[in-house]
Amino acid sequence: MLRHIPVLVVALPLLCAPLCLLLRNNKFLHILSLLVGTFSVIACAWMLIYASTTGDLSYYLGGWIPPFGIAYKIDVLSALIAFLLSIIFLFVFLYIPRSFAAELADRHRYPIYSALFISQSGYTGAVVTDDLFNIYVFLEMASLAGYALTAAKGKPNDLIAAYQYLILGTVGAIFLLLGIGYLYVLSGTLNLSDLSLRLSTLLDTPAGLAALVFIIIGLLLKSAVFPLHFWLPRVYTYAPSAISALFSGISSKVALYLLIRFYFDTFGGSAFSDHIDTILLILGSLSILFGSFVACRQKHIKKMMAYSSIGQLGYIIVGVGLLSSAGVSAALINLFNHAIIKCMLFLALGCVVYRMGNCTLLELRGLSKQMPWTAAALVIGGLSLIGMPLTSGFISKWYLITAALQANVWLIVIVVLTGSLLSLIYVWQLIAATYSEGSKATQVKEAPLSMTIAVYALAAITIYTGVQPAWLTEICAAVGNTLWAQL
Amino acid sequence: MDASLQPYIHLLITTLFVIGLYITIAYDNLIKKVVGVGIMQTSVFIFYISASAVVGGSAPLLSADYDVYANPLPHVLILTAIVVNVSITAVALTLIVKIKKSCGSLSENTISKYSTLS
Repeated sequence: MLRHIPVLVVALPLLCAPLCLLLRNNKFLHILSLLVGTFSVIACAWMLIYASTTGDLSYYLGGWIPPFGIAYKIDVLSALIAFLLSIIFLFVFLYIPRSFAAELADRHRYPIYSALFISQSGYTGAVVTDDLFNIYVFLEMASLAGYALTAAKGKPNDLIAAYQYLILGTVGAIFLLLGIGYLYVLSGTLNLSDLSLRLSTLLDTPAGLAALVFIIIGLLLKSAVFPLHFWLPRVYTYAPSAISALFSGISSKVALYLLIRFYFDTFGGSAFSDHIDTILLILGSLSILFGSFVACRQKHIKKMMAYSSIGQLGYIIVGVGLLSSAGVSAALINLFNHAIIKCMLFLALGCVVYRMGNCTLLELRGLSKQMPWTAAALVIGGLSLIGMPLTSGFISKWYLITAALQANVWLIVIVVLTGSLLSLIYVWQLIAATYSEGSKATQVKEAPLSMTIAVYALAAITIYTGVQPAWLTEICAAVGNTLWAQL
Repeated sequence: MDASLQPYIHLLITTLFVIGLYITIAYDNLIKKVVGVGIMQTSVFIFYISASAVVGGSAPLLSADYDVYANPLPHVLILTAIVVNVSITAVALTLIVKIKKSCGSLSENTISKYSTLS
């Protein structure tokens, strides 16, 4: 049974997806989604423990040995990301019923569960698979579900956001497909482990460079790093609350995981390092400065958080571009922590929308009196974004700055600190509004329990990681060293 | 494939890819953008298929008559990619129908004005 875990985390949600359309019972689907979510968390935690203590976990589909068959391979890196995905999906599943009940008609809710399951299956599959083409198919499967989820409410703004997301996401996927094609033509294999062995002699050809460039463009477009970010703010602002939380935690993070995987594992980082790592550093820095700066000027909090996401993605790209073992582990720590923090913030904003109907700075005034728990969660998330000690944001920034100092790139240290300062400005607006005197006559209650629990579970992870960072930093350092040792 | 044809095939692929990208970015009409994406995808499909062709190669049949085969794997991959392409086009057109219904226009400029107003 345990042998089949790697394929079950992908297959189980996929099996549930058509079930949703057959059953059409929201209450039952809620229970089903919680069961699947819990199973995924346990299975992914087991895979993470297994991968970090015993070694890589492999699964050959249909018993075909790679490079002929499709294989799933779980090393510590993919186990960590799969674990992150499963946590976020579980809490989003817990959050959804009350949140969707307010936003969507009953008959629109069961197809949403179907899309959510497909998205879970797709993203987890893209993370655990060891096959190039599988990555493309899984990523597109998850993205397709994502386009549908963005448009779920069916208002004009949501539809336009979903359409733009679809066009740009597909263009990104085409670049990725083209890059994968070059890799296949170059090496004659689709298996990632096999590929890294065969490529070592072929990398210095123009075709190898073309493959790397196409793949990086595709993934940067999918993850919305600075010059390719246009679609992201709209999608995060207009998608249903729970879905923005899901996207902020997952979609861009999976693309960045694939970037780390391709850049270090497949291409071996150093092959074309002279130019590409500089480009990544520049793009990352611009992303940090632009995202944080524009976030300061937003009145709509969801939009503010969307731009802040663009900034935070920059930290991850910078970590990758530093091209050192410490840089990769810093990028991974940032990736994990930001996924949890941003997901939690969007869920908390969803609670505000649930009660107030909107979440501009105006609605937030006096929130601390009316919804004290939600307000406190917003403060925890905000402080973590700035990088206050005792929150996980501090750990991510600390490791990133240390890595930048080790690599002797002073400019990056300045950029990271400036980004932190700018985030202080926009988070301050948020906190000031929350704890100011409310002028509103309308009294509202605290958000429903299931929604608050989901928010606070993620807040607990943030604070636990901030106080006891060892578990995460050790795993990330191990991943950094393994990726580095291969070069 | 015949080596002398290879540059022309690549020229064709590049041309189609760039045309598709241009249509996707520059055109205002929502449906035309989807067409542009379709052209881009097709160019990548041609790239895969052309890479698998072998001069004088037959389909991979288990028979004594043939001993040179074309590589079937890219064809299989592209079949999958075509399915993905079809689903994306379907979702895109569904969204366009809904946009047309609620905004009454297929022009991106008009729509973005509409969305900032509401």
